[in-house]
Amino acid sequence: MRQLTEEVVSCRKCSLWQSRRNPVVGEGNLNSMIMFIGEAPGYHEDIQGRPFVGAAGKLLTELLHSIGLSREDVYITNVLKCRPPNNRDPRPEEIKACSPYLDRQLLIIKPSIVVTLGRHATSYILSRAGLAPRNISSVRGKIFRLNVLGLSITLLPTYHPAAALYRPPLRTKLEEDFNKLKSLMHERGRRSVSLEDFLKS
Amino acid sequence: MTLKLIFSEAKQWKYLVDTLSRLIDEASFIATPEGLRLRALDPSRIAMVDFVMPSEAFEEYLCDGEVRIGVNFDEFKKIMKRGSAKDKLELEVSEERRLKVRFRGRAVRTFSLPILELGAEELPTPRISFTVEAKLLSDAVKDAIKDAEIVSDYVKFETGEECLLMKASSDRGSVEVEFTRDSGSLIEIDIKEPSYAAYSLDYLSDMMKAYQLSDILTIEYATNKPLALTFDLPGGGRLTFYLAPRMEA
Repeated sequence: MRQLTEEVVSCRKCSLWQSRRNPVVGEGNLNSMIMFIGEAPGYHEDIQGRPFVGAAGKLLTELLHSIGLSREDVYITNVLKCRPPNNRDPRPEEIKACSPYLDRQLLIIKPSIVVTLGRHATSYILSRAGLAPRNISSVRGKIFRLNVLGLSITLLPTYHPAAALYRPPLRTKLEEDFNKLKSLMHERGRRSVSLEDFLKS
Repeated sequence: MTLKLIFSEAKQWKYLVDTLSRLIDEASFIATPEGLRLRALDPSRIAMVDFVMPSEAFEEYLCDGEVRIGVNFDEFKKIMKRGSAKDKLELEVSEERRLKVRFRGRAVRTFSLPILELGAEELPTPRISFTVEAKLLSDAVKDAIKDAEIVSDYVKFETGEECLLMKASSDRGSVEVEFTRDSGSLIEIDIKEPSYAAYSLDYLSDMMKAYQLSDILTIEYATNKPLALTFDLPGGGRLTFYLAPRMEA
């Protein structure tokens, strides 16, 4: 991960390095079974070089605490490692340039549960499993058993915490999804199968 | 190729497409002179939809070959929601490869949506030896799923003495629903061996939206094997959902 961090610091694969102050690689427990993936650093993250440290980060930390987890128990990162100017949406070419870093993080952490925060992270992970992007409102809270980069992961998409700051009713949905995460964690003794296992001859 | 289908109750198709849209994003109906079918996996590969409607179920059915009609179900649902109780539904594939959806009621309303060219691979039928088959009242099962959702994210199916049990529990509480012949909710049951399996309530809840299509549903399952939920449709049609189990390690 140290080498990956050094590569991100000196990365020039897209133009975002020109406007950002600090790249934000990610932080947390490298041995965690749970990985959170957000969209991109915002203003506070750009200044501090750490993921989810602004208002949305505060909410994420509260949600983790509500299910008995701390930030140190999980690994937190974003699809993009540099802040897009004015917090605009990531552009496809930026995701294409930056996502190999996320792929490598997935292979280093080898999480069994991935929680995607928002549509960009969800679309990216679904695409890595060969699936089409879907509306976040239609997939949030649903559990996907996927093969991503050769890893068997359980994907739990949910809203980005920032969305709940702008639309308070979404906070309840986020809380529901974090409770689902709690259930998933307690299910470690369970194994899920795909229906495809029963379609093979 | 010609394809023109008229179905006497648009409302039935409204419920059908609404249910399918909860599980699948895009899929192809395949029309042949024998009837219409659709088989698709949900994006998570945990559930599968298998829909068949024979030509006899339609008021008019004109199809002179195999026609694939790939649709985006979000878009199709929006159109189907516009169908009223007394409308007839007409589906037609135009020469420009667009699907025309026509409601014939107080007015003739014609929508048109693009036909998607989706993969031609057809899914096989899941290979499962079911050990339990039960016919139940659809709305009783729908209520049981709602009960289970209060306390858990999944539900266990178990067999009892000539009865079917649905159990859900978590640190939030527990619930048990018993379906028996005496209570009227269980119509038939065939238990080859005592069987139990757990399934996701998220998916079951979406599948049970089809309760509006049929008063009776058939549940088939086996220990740690997929569940099949079958709704018999008017005119000899059938809508079956398969759902992968959550297995104990």
